[in-house]
Amino acid sequence: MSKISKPHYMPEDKVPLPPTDAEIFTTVCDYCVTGCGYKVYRWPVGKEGGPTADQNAYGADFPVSIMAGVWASPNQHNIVSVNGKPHHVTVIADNENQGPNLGGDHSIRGGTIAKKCYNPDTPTRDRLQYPMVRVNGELQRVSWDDAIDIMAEVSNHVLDKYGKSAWGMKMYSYQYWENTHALTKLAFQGIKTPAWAVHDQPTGHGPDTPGMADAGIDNFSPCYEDWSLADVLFIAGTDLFESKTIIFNDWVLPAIRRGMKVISVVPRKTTGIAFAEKNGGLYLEINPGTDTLLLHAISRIIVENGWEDKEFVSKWINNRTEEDNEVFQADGFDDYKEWIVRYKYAELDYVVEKTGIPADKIRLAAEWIAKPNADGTRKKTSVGFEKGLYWSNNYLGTAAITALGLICGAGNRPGQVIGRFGGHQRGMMPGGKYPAAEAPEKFPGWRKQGIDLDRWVEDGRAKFVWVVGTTWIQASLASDHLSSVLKKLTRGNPHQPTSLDKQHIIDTFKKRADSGGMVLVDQDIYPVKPIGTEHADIVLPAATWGEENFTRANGERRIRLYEKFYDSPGESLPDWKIAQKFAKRMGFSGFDWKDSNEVFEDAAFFNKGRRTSYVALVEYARAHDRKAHDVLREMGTTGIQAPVRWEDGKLVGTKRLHDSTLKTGTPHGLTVINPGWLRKFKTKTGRANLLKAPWEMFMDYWEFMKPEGDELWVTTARINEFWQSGFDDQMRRPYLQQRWPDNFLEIHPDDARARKIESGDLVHISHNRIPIEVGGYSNSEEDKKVRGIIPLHANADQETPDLLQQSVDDNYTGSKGIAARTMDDDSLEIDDELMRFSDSNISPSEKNHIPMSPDLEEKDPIMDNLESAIGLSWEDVKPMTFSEMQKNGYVKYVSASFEAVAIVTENIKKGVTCSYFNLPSGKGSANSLAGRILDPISQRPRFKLARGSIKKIGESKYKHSFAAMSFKSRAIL
Amino acid sequence: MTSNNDNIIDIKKESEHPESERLCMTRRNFLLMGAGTIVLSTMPGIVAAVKLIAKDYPRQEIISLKDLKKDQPIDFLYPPNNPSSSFFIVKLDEEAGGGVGPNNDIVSFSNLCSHMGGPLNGTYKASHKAIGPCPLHLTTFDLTRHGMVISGHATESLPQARLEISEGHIYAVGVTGLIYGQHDNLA
Repeated sequence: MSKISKPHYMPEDKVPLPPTDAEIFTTVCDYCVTGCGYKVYRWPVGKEGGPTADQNAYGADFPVSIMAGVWASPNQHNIVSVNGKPHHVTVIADNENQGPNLGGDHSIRGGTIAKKCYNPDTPTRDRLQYPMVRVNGELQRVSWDDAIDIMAEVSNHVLDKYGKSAWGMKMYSYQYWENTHALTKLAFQGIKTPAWAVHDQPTGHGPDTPGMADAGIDNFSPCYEDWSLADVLFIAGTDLFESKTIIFNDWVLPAIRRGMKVISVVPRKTTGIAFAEKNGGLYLEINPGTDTLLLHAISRIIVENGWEDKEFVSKWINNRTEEDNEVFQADGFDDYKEWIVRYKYAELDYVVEKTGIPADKIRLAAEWIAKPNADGTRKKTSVGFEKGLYWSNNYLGTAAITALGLICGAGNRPGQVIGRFGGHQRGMMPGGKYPAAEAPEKFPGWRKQGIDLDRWVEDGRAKFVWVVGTTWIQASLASDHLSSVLKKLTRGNPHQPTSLDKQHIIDTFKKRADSGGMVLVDQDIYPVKPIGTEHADIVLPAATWGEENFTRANGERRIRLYEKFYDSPGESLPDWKIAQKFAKRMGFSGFDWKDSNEVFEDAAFFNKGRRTSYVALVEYARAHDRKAHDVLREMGTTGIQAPVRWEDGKLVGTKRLHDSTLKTGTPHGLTVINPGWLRKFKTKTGRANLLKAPWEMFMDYWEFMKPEGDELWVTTARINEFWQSGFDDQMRRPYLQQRWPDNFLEIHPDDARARKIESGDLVHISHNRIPIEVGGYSNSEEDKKVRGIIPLHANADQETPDLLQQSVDDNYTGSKGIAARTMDDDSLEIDDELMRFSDSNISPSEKNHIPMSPDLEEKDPIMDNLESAIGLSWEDVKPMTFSEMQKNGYVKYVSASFEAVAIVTENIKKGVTCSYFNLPSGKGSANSLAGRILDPISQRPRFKLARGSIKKIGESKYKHSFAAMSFKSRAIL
Repeated sequence: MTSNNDNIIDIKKESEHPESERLCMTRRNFLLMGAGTIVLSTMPGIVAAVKLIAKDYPRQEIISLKDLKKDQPIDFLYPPNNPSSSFFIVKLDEEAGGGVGPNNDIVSFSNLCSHMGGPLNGTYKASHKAIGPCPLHLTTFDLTRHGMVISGHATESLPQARLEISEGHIYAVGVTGLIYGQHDNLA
């Protein structure tokens, strides 16, 4: 018998057409930051349209021609329930919107989103439908009222006995404004807990790209069109084709065809990188974690040759630092230049050795992006980056790339921008300030730290944690370790419910909390392994995309309505309603919304000064006696770009921020949204800061994490077919599953040969010395001295009340003042969004600012309270470096491993392997090998840095199958 | 008789009795249905089914086995005379899912990218046994794996023509997957 097999996925060869009276809804893809617009056609089962234009709702004659923009494949069709009756839906990219996707273009992820809809005849059949409590080890159905009662009773017990910070929440940051607003309002205004973190980081703290924030640039200031307007586009840490597909397809790809040169800095060549290189671009195949060095070397070559954009620098760069003894901020361009030309870690030989990139390519890159043309004119250069850069070396990487962009004249003009490309869409809509006063940690002389939830939980400080819409475990550093911690605190505790009696469950959970354990709630759309299926005590069913009217913004601040078009399964509810139920049961005020539009309208006023401000939209709607959601619905999938302005009688979007070319009209009424940073940079002066990025701060960790002996780098990256987080519903599509039935490990042929590994072999990747940061939250003398721990209810177990008070006084009245530096002000962001993080009880810095240069224009009052991480001395920074953490006993070492199917390919750099972090079908998580050592400045994770030993286990079942998994190159051109 | 499948029926006999096709379960009907809907007898040459399907693809001769050269795709229209649906047939010289011929290496796929209909003609990559990148948005397809997307945007695998060999000639006898632009391959 041959190896012919039935394809894993058997496609249909026809698809029903919507009749002319089909209802049409507009929505946006649920997944990546691009946020492509889609239309949903819905009609009752039993009817069907015909193949001529007058017989179907597409208005198209079939067969349709190339790029028709109205073709639905079988994977774009589903059958859903509408008020209990079966309906057809087709979900296809909107070919009429003006962005971000053009002409009906779509990715494979959004393209198959119809299959996300719940349909019991498909693998979506295991959607969570009812609240459940684990009794005798099994999850058993309970009523919503009972589930909420249990949670409220246990919460009250925990809050009374252990304080606010013993009540934790771990949630997505992106899954719609109505939900994130309600959930954060509950956490920050209701409970007032600092034990809160979003899906991709252990701390709920500060900006994702702090080097940009400190330079004064909003990381989502560009629009997608900007990525097509440059002459040279410098990209670090991502292939847009793989993870922001339509930004590539519709903006970057046409620009490359027109002659734009792209410089790509990654260790892995995929389609977009290969295409850019083949079409005149440059591929800088970098060793993981060394971007900062490369950026320094390029900047140095530029300033040594005097290639900087002198006109821009003199107008737009601050010529003085704001602080004495500043470790990051340069005292103007001249100081930056002097620093970098003398800086030993910016020397080309050193950089070549560490990055593994040849010197001539580094020189060429510098020339391309900065060398003036023969006639003195300059090329338009833009600089963009993503996680490969900022999840390796967060502060330094983002500071160094921003400095590079600025000296090339980028940052505030069409086609000359600096920005993040983005991961998920921008769905955080804060419902309150992060209660920093309730967090215990403040490094001496510096700032209040947000709680590191992973470490806090491990330290036994959290007694009740509510997880919303995230795997938590696989998405965390040192995942295996976290999983064992959660298991021990939940199922490992002796107090487990043995009957469905509500009071028994409540009493048992209280005993759990009082005996060093933790009660865990998991709220999601599917049973999530292992947090929901194995660890959680209570599981709550959520409604999702298509099942409620939601809003959020994409990576160019474009706000759209994601319409509800079918019934959510069972008793599942949108997250905002679940938060509302619980908040009301707890007696909190401010949760009296009737529908999601009311949440949306309410949230606008919390969001006034942020980049996604849409107060004008709400005011406009109210002035016209309409609902804000309805106004937005009319804008279709084009939507409107924030900040939304109401000028000259109509709503106006803002294409880019810091746009020196922006013209505004006459603002209307109470909704003047015209902060200085629309035209200037986000600093007190409106000029950007050049930041130095001292490699010394990171070098210790990089040297520790670098592979030794036969180890290889084990980094992670995205694949086009699965959006970065690998939403559970994508895993439930046979079509996508046939492509990726299991996790993979890309390995270079030389490295594979040495280990006798071939494509299709199952490999084991392990390490036994993964560093994790632990402890630090007690009131021991050590913790107080080194980490500035302030006693709180939740960590009061080692101190008497008198000493507690004294310690509080010491900390609040110390010579440096408690808020010597905060990252938590108006201008800064949680998960990249501007979020008020500071606490009004904390006084502002008492340090005297050095007078700055005269403002470009009048001072912007909004910027008066601007604070940032700048102003740090070495003394401030040092205790948080890896070496000091080790020295002070805050680092321990764990072992972990995961399995993957090998793909031998020259597309990955020799010495480096690359895996996916979160394929639930995979055994173990690649993030298990990533150290839990956070960036000392920003407290951001370094997911991309891990190393491991790689061994062949045997052949996988895919090695000789034609049915599933392809081992072909992802860079075929 | 040449086939790569042990669920073989005698194609020559079948083609001699075209009228019987809708009554008997033919191999091409079997292939249309996919596993899960059929039960195969263990006796070679006999296929039993639990479910019949309504439509049938025309059988069309493409080329003779000996005229098909390694790594040289030949284009043809399929279903026959449908100007909107071009296919190619190629001898990969490497065993492939759905492949026919002595080495199970002859496969046939649509020339229209299943993303947005981009023409894949001329993009065959012999060294990879792949087709693409599509000139529109760079999607590539694995020809050894039933047209699975290697990298790119198509929401379906590249539609694969089902092939049969009879007396040295290769025939297209059906399509797995919806051809770009169509709402029904047989409409």
